Amino acid sequence: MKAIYIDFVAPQGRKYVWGVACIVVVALVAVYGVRVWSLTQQKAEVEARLATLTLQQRQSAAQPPAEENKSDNPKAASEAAALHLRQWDWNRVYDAIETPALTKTRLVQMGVDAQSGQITLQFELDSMTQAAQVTEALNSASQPGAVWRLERLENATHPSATSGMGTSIKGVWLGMLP
Amino acid sequence: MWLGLFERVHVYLGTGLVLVQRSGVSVSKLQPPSTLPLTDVLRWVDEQLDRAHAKPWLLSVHVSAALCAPSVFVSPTGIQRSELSALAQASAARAWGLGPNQEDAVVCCHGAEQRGLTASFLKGVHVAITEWASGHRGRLLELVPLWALATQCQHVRSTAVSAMALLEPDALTWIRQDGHRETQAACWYGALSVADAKALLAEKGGGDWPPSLSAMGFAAESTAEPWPAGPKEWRRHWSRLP
Repeated sequence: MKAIYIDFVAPQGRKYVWGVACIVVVALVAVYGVRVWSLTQQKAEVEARLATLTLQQRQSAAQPPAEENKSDNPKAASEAAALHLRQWDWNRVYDAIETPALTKTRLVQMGVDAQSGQITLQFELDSMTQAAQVTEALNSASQPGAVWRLERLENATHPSATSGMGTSIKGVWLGMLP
Repeated sequence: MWLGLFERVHVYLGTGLVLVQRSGVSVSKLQPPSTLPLTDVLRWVDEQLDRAHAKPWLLSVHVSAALCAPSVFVSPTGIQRSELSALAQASAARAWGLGPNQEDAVVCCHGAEQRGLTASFLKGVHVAITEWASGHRGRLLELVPLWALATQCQHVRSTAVSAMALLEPDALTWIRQDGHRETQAACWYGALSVADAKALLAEKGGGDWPPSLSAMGFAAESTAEPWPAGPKEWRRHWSRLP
């Protein structure tokens, strides 16, 4: 036989139970809602930072590699400099050096700074007045825009086959590779 | 914590009999004069137990069938809940001997699963009990007819049992459920003996206590040993009828 449940007093406790249950549910939703929102914000920040880093990486990859290799890899920097040197037109330099106006002078030394492209020419002169002639001859024989300038003059002592120890004048000119 | 501010009290109300069980105290049996109106009886109970100086009561009130009788009515299928309540109220008023326009003089409550069965108070009785319970800052937790409480025990809920008879000091109640969940009920009033109960139930097919009938008694006096298969409330007052 089934039990008979009859009560003339309406169950009041259910109101309190439902009320507490609703409060608990609201509290749980609020806690997890705040957590989800916080995680969403963190995700957006991480994605923005990742996009910035990706852009920086692409920009870095688009730069000339020689500039990067100079500071980070000496061997690679040397190779890049050598490649750069081979790309220059050395005939223009030789045209200036081998100009007939410089036959009375003696080219003692030629130096090239691969990094900056600066050329150093050292001539041995017979007199001080010859220095201006050399400067004019180099600039005349070079391409337009090339500028040779006298950096310094110095007296040099060197052995001579005929007269023993003699004194000569050496001049150093600087120019840039074309 | 808040329970410490109240006292849990169980009360049984019958005709000329009030049983009060307070926490930590043995059952108090009070037998007010039967000529007193219920409101006076309840006020007398308060005086006897010095309720004015006690903690506020949280009351569970069980009432005799003499105060809250069962009644049955035909419940057509497809009927709406509001119509069911009106039908139950009309049936209860008729069971109390009231006229067709006096449905408001009864207060009904019907079980959720037993269509066609209702318990009803006369309105004055219901008001007297509820007002008394809320007196002295008390609170009424439940108001249940004892015959409904009896159906909730293990012995009655057995599948072999299809009917229950409850002999109280002032009433005999009989309830039967058939296989189609249709419910039958009957109630006889007065101080009846077991032999009287058997004779009255004989016309219902239960006079010889068939196995399908759970016949139990509720006594004013407590027994030495509680009946294990009886209801948990009022444990020492239940017994199986011989």
